[in-house]
Amino acid sequence: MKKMRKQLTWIMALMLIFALNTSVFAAVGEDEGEDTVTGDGTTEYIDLEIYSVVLPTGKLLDFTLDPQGLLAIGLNEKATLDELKGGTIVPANGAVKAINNSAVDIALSIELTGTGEDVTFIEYGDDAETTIANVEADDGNNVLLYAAPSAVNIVSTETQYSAAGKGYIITDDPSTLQFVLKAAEYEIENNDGVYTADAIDNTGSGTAIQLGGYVNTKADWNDYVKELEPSEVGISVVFSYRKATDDESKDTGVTGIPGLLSSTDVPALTLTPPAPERGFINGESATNGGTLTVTKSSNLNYDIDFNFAEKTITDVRSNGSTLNATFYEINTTTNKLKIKGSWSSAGDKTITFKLDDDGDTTYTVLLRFV
Amino acid sequence: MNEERDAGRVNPFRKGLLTGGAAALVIAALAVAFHLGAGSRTTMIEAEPVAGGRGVVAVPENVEELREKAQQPVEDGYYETRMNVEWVFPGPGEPSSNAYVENSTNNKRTVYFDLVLADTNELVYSSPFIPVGAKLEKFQLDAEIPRGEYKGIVTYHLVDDDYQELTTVSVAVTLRVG
Repeated sequence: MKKMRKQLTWIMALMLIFALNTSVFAAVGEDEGEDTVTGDGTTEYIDLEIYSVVLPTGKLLDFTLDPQGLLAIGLNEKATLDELKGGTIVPANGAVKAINNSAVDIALSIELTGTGEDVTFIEYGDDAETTIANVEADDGNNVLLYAAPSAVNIVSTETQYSAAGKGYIITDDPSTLQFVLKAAEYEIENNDGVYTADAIDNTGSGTAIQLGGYVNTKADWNDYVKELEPSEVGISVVFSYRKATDDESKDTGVTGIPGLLSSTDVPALTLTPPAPERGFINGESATNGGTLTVTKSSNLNYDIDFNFAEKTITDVRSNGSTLNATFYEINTTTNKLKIKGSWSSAGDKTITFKLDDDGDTTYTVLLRFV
Repeated sequence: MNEERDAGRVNPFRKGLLTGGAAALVIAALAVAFHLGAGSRTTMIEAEPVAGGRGVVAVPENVEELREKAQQPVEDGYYETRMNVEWVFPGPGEPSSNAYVENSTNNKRTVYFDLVLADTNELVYSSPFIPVGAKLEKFQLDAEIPRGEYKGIVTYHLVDDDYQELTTVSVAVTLRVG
């Protein structure tokens, strides 16, 4: 009996040890019971607290540091030292977009943090010039990284990005850009008594940011390209969103940056957009002979800018006829051609014009109103 | 003498009973430990960093590759999140009364997500795989956290058909416990 009690004591002791010290984690994909994944995918009502937001993944957030300006020289090409434009940071895949497809306006915050133990992220100094100069103030691994928001509303991942002209600085402390993105339009379908609600394509509202910046050309960047345990530099991005308040929905925002809340408090550089290639720019672009799709509006005077750097625009016509001067404006300082008018009931218009140094070359764009 | 030897031996029936009983008790102990371990932990589990991008320095050896990569379309560049962002847990250790996460039919990849507490980076929940079109609701955290309000970060992991990770995207949520 005494021996049996001893054995039972050991067994009870073992039970106690297991209970206190064993931590068992359900492996991913093996949860059962309470964590039930249901595959129905339908809803019987629109739940306004369920938000649908398209966000970029880490794959789109990579960027390239180009201290030597190598990206400026294509294969088998030549470039002067001035043309190399060394010391820049460019995105690996262009701008990244965030789009609200929810049934309500949302306040979207994008929290950006520079990462990298051995990197110094330059903060905003006394002014833009000083800030950029600080990148090359010594031979440290200095980086001035910024995020440039879009100048146009992004309704889908296909919408073309256009830089708004401001680069909000990213350091190793989180910088948060805050946007209000309007609700999408929804349609509800009744399928045999089961109601499903879906956002209508391209009716949402969104923004985009493009990474850019400067990197110290005097620094030794070899540790960042070695094969074994290279030093790292990167960026972490956390999105957060919630229903926008009434005040946020009415916010006047930041001029030229759709959706950016006026309360955004992140230092920014003013960016000079690069001189455009020959083409048409209105937040979107079309080549000579191409088509610009224009949304019909009940508002008057929808302005469409055509920008040809360093050229003079002449002989502007619409559908072959000389365009009445009331309906266009040429700004000789910026060399922009602005087409004005009431577009609420407009049909397609073919706009042609010439550039002064191109002789008889006529440029054509079809404005298609939808 | 025989009596002394007999006194030192254990009755075979009793031995079998003890062994069987011990085995049953150990199994029961493991079952209890599983339940307790799944609901609480004594050590903090740190999560992987949140989603982000990597900076690559251009050198002669990689610049052509970088240029080509920039021209190619990126697969899995976007993910449509479909979720609520304020998760209520009636009490420590209880399942949420409202948490909702859906893998939108506009997506192409199965996902799972990790939930960490933003202040401590402690991993408090790791979801099962959620195929496209499926949803997960009202789940219970893997870790029991005390009553209070917390900022959490949900990191979605997109996986391929072999369940290998492709990329991530992170979204903040608010947790209200108790």
